[in-house]
Amino acid sequence: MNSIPISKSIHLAWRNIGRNPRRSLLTLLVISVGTASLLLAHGFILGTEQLMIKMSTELFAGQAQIHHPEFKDNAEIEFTVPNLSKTISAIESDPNIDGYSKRVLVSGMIASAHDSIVIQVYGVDFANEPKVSRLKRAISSGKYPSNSMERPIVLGYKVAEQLQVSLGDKVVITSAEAFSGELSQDMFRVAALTNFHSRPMDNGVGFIKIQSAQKLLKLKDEVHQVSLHFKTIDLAANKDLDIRRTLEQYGVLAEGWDELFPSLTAMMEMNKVSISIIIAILFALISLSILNTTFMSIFERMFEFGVLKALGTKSFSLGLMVVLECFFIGLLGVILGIITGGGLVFWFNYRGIVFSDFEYNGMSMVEPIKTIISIDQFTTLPLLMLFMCVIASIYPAFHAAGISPSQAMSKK
Amino acid sequence: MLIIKMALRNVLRQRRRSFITICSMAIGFALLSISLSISEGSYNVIIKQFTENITGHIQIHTEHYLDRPSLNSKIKSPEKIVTIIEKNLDNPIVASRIKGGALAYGVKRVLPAAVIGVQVEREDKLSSLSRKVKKGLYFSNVAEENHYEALLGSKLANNLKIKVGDDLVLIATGADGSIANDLFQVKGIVGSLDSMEANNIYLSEGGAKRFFSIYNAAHEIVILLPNHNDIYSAKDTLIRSLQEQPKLAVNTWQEVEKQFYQSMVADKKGNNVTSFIIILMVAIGVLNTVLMSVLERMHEYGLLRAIGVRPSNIISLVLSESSLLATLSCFLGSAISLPVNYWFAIEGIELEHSIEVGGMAFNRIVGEVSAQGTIVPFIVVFFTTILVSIFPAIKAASVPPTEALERG
Repeated sequence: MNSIPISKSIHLAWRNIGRNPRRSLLTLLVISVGTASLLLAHGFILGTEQLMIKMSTELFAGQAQIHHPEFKDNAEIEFTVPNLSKTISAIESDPNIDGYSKRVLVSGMIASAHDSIVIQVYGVDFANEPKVSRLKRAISSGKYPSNSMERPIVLGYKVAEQLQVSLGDKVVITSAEAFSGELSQDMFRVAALTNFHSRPMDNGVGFIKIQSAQKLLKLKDEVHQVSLHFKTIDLAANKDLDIRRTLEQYGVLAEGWDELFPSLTAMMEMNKVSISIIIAILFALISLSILNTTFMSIFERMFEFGVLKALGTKSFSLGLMVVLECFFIGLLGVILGIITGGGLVFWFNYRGIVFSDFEYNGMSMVEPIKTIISIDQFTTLPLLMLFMCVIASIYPAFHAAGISPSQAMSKK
Repeated sequence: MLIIKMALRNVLRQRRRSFITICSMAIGFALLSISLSISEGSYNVIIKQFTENITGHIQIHTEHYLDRPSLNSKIKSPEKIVTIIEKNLDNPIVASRIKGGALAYGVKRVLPAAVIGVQVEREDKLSSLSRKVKKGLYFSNVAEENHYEALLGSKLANNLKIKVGDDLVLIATGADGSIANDLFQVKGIVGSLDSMEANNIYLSEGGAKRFFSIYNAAHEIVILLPNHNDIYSAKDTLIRSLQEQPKLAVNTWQEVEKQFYQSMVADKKGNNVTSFIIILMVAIGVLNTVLMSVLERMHEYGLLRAIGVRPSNIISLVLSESSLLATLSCFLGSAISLPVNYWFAIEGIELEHSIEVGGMAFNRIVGEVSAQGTIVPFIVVFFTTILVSIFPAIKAASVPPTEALERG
């Protein structure tokens, strides 16, 4: 028996694809639609993740936060950040951190001449806040206050609507003091209104100067929260940074966005599963399509296979030829898929997909979701698709290899 | 009948090919059915949860209350409205509520809380509030006694460090602008830490009226219908029968929980894109099979034409073959999807961290077994198959008898 040289096999396989162009084209189309949708899904999922992380962190929380270790479970006024001055100097000298802002949290009632509601008030450093959160950019009317202003308050526009107050009006905040629990009250003037496109923020939050909040709660120079901004967002979730160890020594709890928003981390885990499910589904559909086409073309060419066998071609060479045919169809399909899928990923990276009706964790997706271009979309994922095509061809290849010449030739 | 017989024979002629095609269509069917089951199931569970626990199916407020809930936007003489509702709808469960906010004093702590004044018996029928009491008891039925009783959401009780039997001081501004200030006794703790009641304080109707200085008024009238499919007709009936009551707004839960509803619709649209891609891939595969088998048999079709079979009959033959494949694949697809859907309906997947969509927390992925979950995929698969078969069918029908015979 003689075997066909590989180069000859390749040549034959290539020519066989062209013999029934319509059939090859349809198979190729399935593969390319599959590849393109995989790339698009991948880009879209990455894009959604990134946008959600960006929205969640920029909204107000910041990329990382520092608290008293017990504050998270039990938000008591007395649980202020320990060793504040040391903590702040550690943050200021850290090269990875490029912004921080101190905050005091006050829960209380806010009253206008018309109505009163319960809200969460943040005492913030108006000068530092823009470095960590979107507060300044979220101002929809009025002027963002400076720290030198007298008793300014920034209210969510929904809060203002409910209290029926506008810029310049007076409101009174009532809260309980630290340690004693005595009621304390103070008057503020509405300096600006915010629209965060987030229900919890627009419905129930106000911002005053940190000193006013400390006065209201009878706290000295103490804060409940420090929000941090890192040079890149990945650093905020990095647990190996020196600053983490330093802060731990000071007895404070430092958490990156991954710990602050466990639902985001859960979603990212779920997305990984989703991608695998998509791949499994595509594999099923593509392999069935390949099986079908390959069997069709094998049965059509039974006679030829019989002749080749009768001439002494090795079974292996016949099988290889079938696999190579699928490989070439797969290759063309994947290339076409990369072109269309990649094109779509680039297009939606530029244009974005509007999903503004969707509200996740209280935030409307006002920004369009921009697909993310990643190297995986042009390497691993297409290769995986090509690999699937080759895997799917193995069964028909065995079938072709096992043809007996006499039977095959008698079929004609 | 003859056509169906011939179609069956043609399908069976290439068993492997037919089987593979059926498999890929069945996968398409099953995926559609499962994704429909999960998305409908998860949403329906959540919708059932909040309509039967909090919002009811329809709510009545004063105009603009939903945009700007204020203590002073009151429905006057709610009893009269309730009577009108009960007269015009079939067996609705109706209850009115008084809603406001207050500062709650706990042990060393003060926290803001939502205060809901409920009609003790009616509310229990509507939202089964008494069944949600985890510790302690539900309000007593004697009107005077329950004025000083309060039920606390469990998260709030935890944060305030308050137990059943403890005193609870509430401070708020009353409807008349006075400082509302009262001492209540905690009668029970309701709900779990992450349930929708977690941060609420419930007072009896009488207690809430006294506390907020509200007389003969309520903020919200909640209606639960025996059948949730009647929502829109019930809304129309209510709007008509409440015409003489000025400045009232009738809203369905879709409007009350607008954010959630919009998110749900957007999410479902997104799912449709995924389904479309899957069906597209299946459709190309089906086109391939049908086209190939038609091309292979051009000779036969030519022969049929030559013996006087009309082109329309040939078209029906090809379409019957495809329909047969589609029907078989739907059976196979159901065999795959039904057990999966059943498992999702019974067991479901528990999420470690709940995901909040439009203000509602999802903590389980569940499915449902419904007629819709079979009918919709069936229609989609069937019609897609017919659609892609039209081109091959026309091709088969338009073959000139002579040419086809020559080729053979």
